[in-house]
Amino acid sequence: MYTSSSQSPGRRRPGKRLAALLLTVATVAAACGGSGDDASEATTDDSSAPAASDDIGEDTPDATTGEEPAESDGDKTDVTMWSRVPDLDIQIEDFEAANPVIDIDWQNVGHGGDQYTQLRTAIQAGVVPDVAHIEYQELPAFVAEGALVDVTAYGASELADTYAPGLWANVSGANGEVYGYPWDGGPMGMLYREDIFTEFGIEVPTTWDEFAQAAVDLREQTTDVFLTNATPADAGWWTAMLWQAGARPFQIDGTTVTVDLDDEPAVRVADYWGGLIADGVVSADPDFTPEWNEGFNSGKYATWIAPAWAPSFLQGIAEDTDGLWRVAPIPQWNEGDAVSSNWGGSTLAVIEGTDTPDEAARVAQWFTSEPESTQLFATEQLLFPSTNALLNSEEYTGTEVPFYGGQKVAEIFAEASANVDTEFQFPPFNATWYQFWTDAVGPRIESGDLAPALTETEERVIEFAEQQGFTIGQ
Amino acid sequence: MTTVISAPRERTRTTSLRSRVRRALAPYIFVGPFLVAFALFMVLPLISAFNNSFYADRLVGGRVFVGFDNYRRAFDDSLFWQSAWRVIRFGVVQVIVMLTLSTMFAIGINRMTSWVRHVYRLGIFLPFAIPSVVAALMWGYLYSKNIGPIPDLADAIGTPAVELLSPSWILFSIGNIVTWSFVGYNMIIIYAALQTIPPSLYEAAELDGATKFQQTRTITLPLLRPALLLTTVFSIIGTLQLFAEPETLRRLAPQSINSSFTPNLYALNIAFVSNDLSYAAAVSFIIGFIAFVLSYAFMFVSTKRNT
Repeated sequence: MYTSSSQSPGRRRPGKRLAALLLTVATVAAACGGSGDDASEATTDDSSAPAASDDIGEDTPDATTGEEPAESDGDKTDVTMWSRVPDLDIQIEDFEAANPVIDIDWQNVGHGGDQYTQLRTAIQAGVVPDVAHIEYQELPAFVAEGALVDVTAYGASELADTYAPGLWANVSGANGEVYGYPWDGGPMGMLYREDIFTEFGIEVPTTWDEFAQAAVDLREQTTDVFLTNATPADAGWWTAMLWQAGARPFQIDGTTVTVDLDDEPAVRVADYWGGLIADGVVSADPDFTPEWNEGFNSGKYATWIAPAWAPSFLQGIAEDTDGLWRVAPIPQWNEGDAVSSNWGGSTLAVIEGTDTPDEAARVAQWFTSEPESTQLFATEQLLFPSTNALLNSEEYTGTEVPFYGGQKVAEIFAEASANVDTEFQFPPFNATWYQFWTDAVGPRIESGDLAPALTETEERVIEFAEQQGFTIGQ
Repeated sequence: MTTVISAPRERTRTTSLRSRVRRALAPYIFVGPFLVAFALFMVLPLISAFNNSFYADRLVGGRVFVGFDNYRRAFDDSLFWQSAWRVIRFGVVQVIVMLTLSTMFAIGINRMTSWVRHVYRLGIFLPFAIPSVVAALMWGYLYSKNIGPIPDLADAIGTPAVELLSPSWILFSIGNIVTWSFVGYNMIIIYAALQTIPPSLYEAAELDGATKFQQTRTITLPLLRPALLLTTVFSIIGTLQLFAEPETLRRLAPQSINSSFTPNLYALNIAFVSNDLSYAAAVSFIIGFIAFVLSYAFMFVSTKRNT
């Protein structure tokens, strides 16, 4: 490279230089069309529970089942399943023992955005996995793209009482369609440091008013600890906050979308957290960063308003605080209420284009509801259960966790699970609204003036929805 | 006799023909594998993306031909132009600082005689070997206000610590990472060019009584021009493609870096977050076109001036 550069004083051959330039420019353009690997992870992977950290060997998604369906091995049917849940072999073995006619081909094609990009590519190419692991908030997008099979034809409608109502609402369409089998959930609760609460005489708050007062009281006594760390820029956390307050940002009716991001509950939530941040009584460090991890480990944050997958996650990042944490229900907007919302969790969905929808549905149903394997998912892979059977099982909820001072952690989250508001809807362009929200709120966090970000996001979302061909409802 | 003579003549003719054919074919055989890969993974995707940029793939209504609508939309897209303007302003400062440093290091190392220069050369080049995501993560850690060493350092000196991830410092912080990563790479190119300058020129200058500074100004820098041109064009293109550093730091600094912070980041998010591949393709082609125009304008200006 350098020989040519040092020898040819350029100006004699503009033609060749032009060609070389065009070539480099072409590289720029082509590069833009390509790789999104490291990018999408950070943006859409906010709900990637503790399980996400274990990445099992990246199998290449050749997904050949689309071309060569079924009956390859005598009477056996192959079902390809994409999932990032680690150690899936345990349950696959059990499944195949119980269902000798089906062979499961498990592929881990990465998590979050990576997998969705791959899935969309596979759908374009017409070689799809039969079953794929999709988060609740992404389901409506895949439904709108026509990528998912309505599994009511395979007996799914009878499962309404099998799964937690909050999760079931998220997989159900307006006219009783069912697009996925709830695999795990993330009902919201509150993790708190009992030792810090005791030291500063803070009562466990049951309402948001009490919580705000506690934040002020704590701050008056110490400058080392914040009652909590608010993360409005994390759209997953923020959605859970809106959801719990009763906000209804999106109503979907066929191809009509009603967008109301700055309704009363949403503005209330924005003003509440913005006010606490502006008063300096809660911190606002971005979450899932080394600094944030350290905040928990060093005792900078006294609570975490967090979902059911958080307790095991916290154990991994805050080892020094072993035994000091406790769990309580999420504070309420109205005294005496018990409303929760959901952050994270995922489904198994049957992908349109599969040649074996019947078997695929059977696999998805078994993995998400069969008693023994779901029990294993809860204890081995640490998925927070989606089935009522497990959520009501004393054997499961009665487990005492030493990190939480021997408290029965699952019991509290199981209760939260039953209290998840079932009216909340995700839009068919959820990743986009999440991104618009983060863009809008990011620069406003320091000042605490969050409500205008709601309005700004609403404008961008409406513009996007119109571009996508949706009718905007009033 | 005659047969004996003619035989070798025959042979020379055939071998020369064969070797001529072979010689004519050889370059194609050498570049063949590259051309195949280039056509498959560069030309074809480019054609496909270009074609795609004239369609819209909507969630409601599906795929429709829209002509130049995506390009028109991009020209009206203030977020896109903000991002382009941001990296251009960034590049003007960063590229100049980086290439000045690269040139100084190259000249310095070229003057050194002891083995130490190998250590310097490797040391300055080494950051280039670190993947940009890793580099950004590492620097992101150093920049962070609670666990990084910078606040402690500032404390020790007695000045208030600047928040390097805050909106007002973020371009500086990214520029620092990019400079750190690429200063060595450019230095190597310039250093190689330095080595091709005949020592006799310096000897002659020495005889005429030129100082070291005069030698640098009148011999070294003019002869480095082609290398500096090349590194500048590469840097302009690289700047427009700025991506991995802001993408990695975004998680740490959502207050400072949005999803359309740089043109490439914007194109990628349109493509894979909003799944609007057609619009992303149009935006990508415009980015490519801007890179082309800027690079060509730079070459045009810098060659004009000296003829």
